Amino acid sequence: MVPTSQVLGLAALLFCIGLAGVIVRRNLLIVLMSVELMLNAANLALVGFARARGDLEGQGLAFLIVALAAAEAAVGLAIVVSVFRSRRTVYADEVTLLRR
Amino acid sequence: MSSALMSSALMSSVLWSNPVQWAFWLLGGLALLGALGTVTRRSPVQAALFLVLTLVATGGLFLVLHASFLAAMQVLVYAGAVMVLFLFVVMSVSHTEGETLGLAQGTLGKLIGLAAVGVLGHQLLRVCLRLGDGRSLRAALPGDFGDVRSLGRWIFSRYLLPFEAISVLLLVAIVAAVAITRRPPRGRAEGEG
Repeated sequence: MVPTSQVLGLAALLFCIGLAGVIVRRNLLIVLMSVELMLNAANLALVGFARARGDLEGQGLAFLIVALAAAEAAVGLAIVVSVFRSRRTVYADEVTLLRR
Repeated sequence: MSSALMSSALMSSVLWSNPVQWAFWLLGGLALLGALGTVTRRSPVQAALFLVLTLVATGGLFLVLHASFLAAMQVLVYAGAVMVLFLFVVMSVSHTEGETLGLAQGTLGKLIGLAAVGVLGHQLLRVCLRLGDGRSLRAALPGDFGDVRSLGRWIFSRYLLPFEAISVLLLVAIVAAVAITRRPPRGRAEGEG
C-alpha cells in the first residue's frame, strides 16, 4: 500500500514540471504536451484520493478528465495547424499578428 | 529546504520491504524521467515519445492504485489515440529548426517563470507531506474496486449528466477541429507566408 502523501507528492512534481514547460517553452506543440502533463498529474492526484478514501468519486472524475484532455488536444492541435498554415511557424513568439 | 523535508519524510515513512512501494517508485521515477524529457527535448518528436513514456508509466501507477479500468483507458486513449494525433501533427507541421533552449533568450521572463514554478512546487510538496501517511487510508477495499463494472455503475447512475455533457463536448471539439483547419475557399487570400 502506498501512502497518500507520496502519491500527491509525485503528482505535484509532475504538475510543476508541466507548468515549467508551459512557461518556458516557445514551441506551441511542446506547450500543448506540457498541458497534457499537467492534466495527467491532476488525474494521478484524483486516483490517489480515490484510493485513500475508498470510494470511486475520484476515479470517475479522472475518467471525465481523460475525455476532456482528448477534446483539448484535438482543438489545440487544430489551432496549431491553422497557425502554421497561415504564418509558417509553430513558435509562440513569432506569432505577432496582433502587435502590428 | 523542500528536498530535505521530502527526504526525511521518505526515510521515515517508506517501507522498502513492500513490493507495491517499489513498483510505485519505479513507475513514478519513469514518469518523472519522461516528464523532464518532454520539457527539455528540442525536437518535438523526441518530446512526444518521452510523453508516451510518462503516460504509460502513469497507467502503471493507476494499476498500483487499484484503478484497473482507468489504467486501460489511459493506455488506449492517452498513450494511444491522443499521442498518435500529436505525432501526426508534429510530423506534418514542424520541419523547422529546433528552438534554442537555455537562458540565452528571454532570460528575465524564463527566470521569473521558473522561480514562480519553484515556489508553487515548494508549497505543494509541503502541503502534501504534511498530510502524513495513511491518514484516512482504508486498508480493505472491495474486490471490484475500480474495475469496469463498479466504475460503469457509478458513471451511469450518479454522474450521468456530466457523462452526457462530456459526450456533447467531444462532438463540439470534433466539429471545431474540422472548422478551424478547413482551408479557406478559393478567391480569398492564402497565407502570405
